Amino acid sequence: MSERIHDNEPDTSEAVVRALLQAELPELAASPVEYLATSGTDNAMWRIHTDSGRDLDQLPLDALAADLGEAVATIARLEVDGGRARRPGERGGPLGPLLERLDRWLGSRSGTPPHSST
Amino acid sequence: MARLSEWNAPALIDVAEVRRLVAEAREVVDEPVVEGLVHGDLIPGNLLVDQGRLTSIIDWGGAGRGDVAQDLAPAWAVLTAAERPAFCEAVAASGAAWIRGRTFELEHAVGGVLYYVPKNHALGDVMARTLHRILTSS
Repeated sequence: MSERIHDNEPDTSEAVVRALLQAELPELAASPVEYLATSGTDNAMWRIHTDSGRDLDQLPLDALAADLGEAVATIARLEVDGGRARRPGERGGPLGPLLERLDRWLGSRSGTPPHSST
Repeated sequence: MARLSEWNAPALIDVAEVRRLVAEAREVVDEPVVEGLVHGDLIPGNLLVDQGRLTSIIDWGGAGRGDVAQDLAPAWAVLTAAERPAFCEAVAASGAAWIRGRTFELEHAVGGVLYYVPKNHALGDVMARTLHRILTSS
């Protein structure tokens, strides 16, 4: 598993995965599970080996490009009454403050980019 | 594309090129922003694909109402220059919206590279690839 990157990160170990499978999907509880080094920052993904899968980067992307365009156009057409606003640059976790500093840096004309840990 | 291990902090981003694209975005004439539902994080890890086709979009926890140009991110976060025209045609965004979307994703990618690459997190590679695609797309 990758190293923990947030404080208060929940336990996503194999023991937790096994317990969840036992409780929710006991027919799969004995299947091999594999931790996937995904890009999730507040979640973890484990593959339950019942079939094969491939990484997105190894797939032909032509059909996916049209699918994504259609999906994005569909999402954009949905009316939202009330609810929360989603602003550009709004990110969860420690990336949020970094992006704010980055925005200020890009607004200035010079200087070095902000560092992630300051 | 360089692997994570080949990146070193002082050379993580091409500052001059990033500044050039941001300056270019400022030149774009303002137009009314189209608002609608925004997912806000359409990166590879949030897209489920089966047999090369999109089947699900996950991680809606940050969704809300906003500038729909934010969801043009897959143009650079997922696709390469070869497939981008098909995406562009399907979303039918205006020129200004396209530039706004590119700038949003540029800032996201720069921040992501600065944050995740030094941590050797998988997202560092995703963000570095996205940044590379944006910087070589114009």
